[in-house]
Amino acid sequence: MKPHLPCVLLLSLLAGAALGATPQPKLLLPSFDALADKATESVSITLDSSLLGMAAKFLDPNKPEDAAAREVLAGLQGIYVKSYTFDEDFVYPKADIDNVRKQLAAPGWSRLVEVRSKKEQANVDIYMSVEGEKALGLAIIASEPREFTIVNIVGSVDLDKLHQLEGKFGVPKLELETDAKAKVRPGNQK
Amino acid sequence: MHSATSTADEHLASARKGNAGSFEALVRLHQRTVHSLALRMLGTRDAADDLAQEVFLQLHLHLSSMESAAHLAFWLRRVVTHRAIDRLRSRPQVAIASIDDEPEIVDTHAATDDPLLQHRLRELIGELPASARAVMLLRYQEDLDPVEIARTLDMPINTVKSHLKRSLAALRERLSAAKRISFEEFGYE
Amino acid sequence: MNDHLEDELRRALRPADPGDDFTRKVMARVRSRETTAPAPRTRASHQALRWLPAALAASLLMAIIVKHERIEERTTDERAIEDGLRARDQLLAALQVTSAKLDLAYQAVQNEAR
Repeated sequence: MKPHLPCVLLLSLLAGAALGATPQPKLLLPSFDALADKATESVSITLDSSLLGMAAKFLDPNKPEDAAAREVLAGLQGIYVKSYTFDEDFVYPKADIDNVRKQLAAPGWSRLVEVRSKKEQANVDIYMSVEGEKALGLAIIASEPREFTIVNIVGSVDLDKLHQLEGKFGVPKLELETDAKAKVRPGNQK
Repeated sequence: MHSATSTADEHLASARKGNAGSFEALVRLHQRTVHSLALRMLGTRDAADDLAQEVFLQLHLHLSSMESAAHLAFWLRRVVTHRAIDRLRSRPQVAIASIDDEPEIVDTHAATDDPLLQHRLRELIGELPASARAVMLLRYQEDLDPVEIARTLDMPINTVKSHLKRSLAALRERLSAAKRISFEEFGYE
Repeated sequence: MNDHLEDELRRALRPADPGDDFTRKVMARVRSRETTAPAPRTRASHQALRWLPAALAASLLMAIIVKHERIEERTTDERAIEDGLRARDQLLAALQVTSAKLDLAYQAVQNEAR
């Protein structure tokens, strides 16, 4: 049975949420325009609340992927994705990614999951922004030698529903090498 | 010596003046592309015949706005893919299990043809979401580059590239799961 | 690594000719449409138009303007539909990328839990 760890973590996060400055669930993402020219593949998606509303009208409830997307969409105010693939190792600017990580070190953001895979040199960090008992946003930073991806979702996010989407897109679920170590950080650690 | 393009331009010029024979020549020139795109998008011969015929009827109505043979080819690809996507969106999405209506393609140059693999690939293409399917067909059936695909589908270039990347990854994954296909030959791990 | 797959895709997706039967059906439909189309204007009818009362000419002009506005509306509507469909495609693409990265993390968490 699949462990619902993120849900458990979320509850503990909500219980121990830090007080203080209002969390900023929308990150300031670099444009990476110069990077797009060097990349073999690039994805840059900016969907604010009005575009999400527009997209919602065109989701077909008869199609599984559209119906699943509609469920996830409820409560979201924005989705921002930057994903770039290169044909050489580590040609993307680490400084820009570190700047995004600095924003995620601010009060209100907590890291849920930290994955480090030595074999694939793949790292995945998942952060959640909370205020009181309310989830305000999600951020994912994933990096491999020839690819990096930053995802920022603003609004109330259901991680389980998001994860289940993959099977509906015609893309099989990915298998991670068994040597990957996942550090699960309970509470409010950064 | 006439090039293929100049012949097509001549047929277009003549068809615009009402020459039925020239219009029929244009149909013959492009029916392979239009019908194959329709068939691989929609999945059944009847639906493909209907759509492809409609596209040529539209062409006949819009001949006067065709600027050149190249423009006409672009227009045909654009209309057939857009209309196929519209039709797919307006009906419940059903994966195309098998395009058995595909006519057999006899190619005397293809000494390395693997009919089973090719059939499987066509099946898998038919299981992709509509936009991804259109991108893959324009790339690998029509040999368009991502910029041309973006223009044809009115799609951002980044979205085209994403569709190509993810679809190829999905195809690789599914092929590797099929026990009867040998991948040592292709150097897959 | 994709090169072999791409070559195979090109082979699998070579377009196939639907044959003479298809061509005949297209031409039959073209001819059928032509025979039901309104008859072309004759020289006499062109000359008759010159004598149209001004009020009727104004009505015709209004009809043309309204039709043009409707075409503009349809064009605006078509653009709105295209924008909406594009937004939908981008939404699905964004969710797909997100769920793929989540799956990497989920798999690692499951492996750690074993």
